[in-house]
Amino acid sequence: MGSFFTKHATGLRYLSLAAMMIIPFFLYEAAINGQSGLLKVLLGLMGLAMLLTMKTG
Amino acid sequence: MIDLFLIKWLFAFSPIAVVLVLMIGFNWGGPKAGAAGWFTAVGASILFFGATPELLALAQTKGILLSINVLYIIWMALLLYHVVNETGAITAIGRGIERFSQDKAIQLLIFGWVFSSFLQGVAGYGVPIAVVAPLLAALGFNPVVAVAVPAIGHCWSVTFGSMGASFQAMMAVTGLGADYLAHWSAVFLGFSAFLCALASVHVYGGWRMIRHSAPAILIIGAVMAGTQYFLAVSGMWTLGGFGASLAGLAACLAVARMSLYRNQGNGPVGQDEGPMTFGWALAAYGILILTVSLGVLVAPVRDFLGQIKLSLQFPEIKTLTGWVVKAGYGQKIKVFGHGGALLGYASALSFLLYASKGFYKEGAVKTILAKTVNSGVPTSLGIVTMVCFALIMDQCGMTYLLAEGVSRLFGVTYPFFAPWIGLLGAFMTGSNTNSNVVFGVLQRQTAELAGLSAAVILAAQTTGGALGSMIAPAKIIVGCSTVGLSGREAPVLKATIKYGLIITGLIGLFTLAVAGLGLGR
Repeated sequence: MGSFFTKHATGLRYLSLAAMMIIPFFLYEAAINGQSGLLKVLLGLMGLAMLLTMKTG
Repeated sequence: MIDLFLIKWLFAFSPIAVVLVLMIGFNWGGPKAGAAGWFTAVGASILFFGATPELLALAQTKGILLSINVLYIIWMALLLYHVVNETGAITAIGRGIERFSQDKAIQLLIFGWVFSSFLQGVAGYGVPIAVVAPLLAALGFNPVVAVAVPAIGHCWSVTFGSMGASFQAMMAVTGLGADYLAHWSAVFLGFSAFLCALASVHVYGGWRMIRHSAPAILIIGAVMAGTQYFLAVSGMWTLGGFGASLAGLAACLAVARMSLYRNQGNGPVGQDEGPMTFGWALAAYGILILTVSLGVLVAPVRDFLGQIKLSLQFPEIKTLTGWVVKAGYGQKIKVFGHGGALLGYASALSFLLYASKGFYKEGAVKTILAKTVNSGVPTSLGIVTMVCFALIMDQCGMTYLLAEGVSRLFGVTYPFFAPWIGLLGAFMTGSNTNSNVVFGVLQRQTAELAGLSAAVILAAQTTGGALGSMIAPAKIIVGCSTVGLSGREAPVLKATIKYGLIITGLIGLFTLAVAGLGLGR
């Protein structure tokens, strides 16, 4: 697992940045439209992107 | 009651504390520490400040809009730097400057103070130290001096450098405009320009060298501080650091011809330089000045480019503890009239000019893009994570609580500590921009609670943040790696920390005096 993150660190860094830039716009849509289930899923995804940054950043 | 306030204050401070501990104690980078700060902010906001999923979601969206506003400038500044550097222009500029004077003090000032500030103006993010340190070492300066001097010398231009990214960040998070903030920020940073120069020559030759260099520092410093002030208050703050250092380079030409500094070896600029002459090397920056001037000063052009704006409207939202965030628009981004867009136009035009003259090798486009992405992604990750957690703190009332605590603790002496908070932010995050993002709102709210001018306190914040660049370990490490001092950063850091603390102390006293006189309100 550790070697996977080391080997793909650059790509994963790009992925986490892209996720962090895109997810908030979906979060906005979900919050405005009162989709609380989707909101929690998307916040979870945002957390995953942050975790990925902690692992590869 | 007070104990409850203290406990809540400590939880409000916990995300910042986590970032500080991880970056200083465990040597984590900005992106990793920022992400850890984000988790801490989410946890504290839910458990102690009544954050709802809706509030967290909207805070993230506001955070990303703020991030895009800053990253637009950063990415385009990096693109322009690599477009220019790939032609060998930065080396040509360095070579041209070397001919100004053979006087060691003047060389030190030109490279370590003025040229490093110029590089900060056009690129930033460690480039000034990385480029200037080997040039000074090649001129025969001790490696420790070669790294310490640009590290100290360029700091004053950090806020308005990198096309004003740090200033942009401060405006974005505080919601205050350039009209209000530029005056005092330019005054404080102008004052620090002289202090950075004095410290730079003191590192090399102590008080004797200060006496020898004083006339040069006064003349060049007045030109740079004055130019920066003029550009900042006239709306062209994106060019503040760059324009000031360019004017400083011109002033260096005059100073180098003073009898005090004119000794053997002065040669004319622009001869025997190969295909990339000094003039061609500066051509891209001429294009930049023209583009930004057109986009900022010429009203029809500015209005035409500013037609398309990106923004989102946010509803009013309340935490479970009753903290209310008012409805309103998030950060507005002028897609084609933004400072980043103007930089993009300058990059494209410069590339076309240099390509038409055959200055690029085959595959240059790929190299430029790869280098831009490689340097832009880590910086962006650091900024996004920091901005996102700072916005969570702001939207839940955590920052306000921190400000209230700081105001109570320091009372009337608070202005003295304002630049220290900025310095701490830059030290912990390695960036004036991040420092302004993390502490900008805190400083504004503390100033307002204490009845002080927010413009003065924020000027002290960003000046402290700029000075923090000289003690940021990440930047020192980069500089040391270019002069063979890898793993031996301690002597450099020891030198820069001493000067960083002295200059910040002087800025603190200056802030106290300005605030005490009631100026800026």
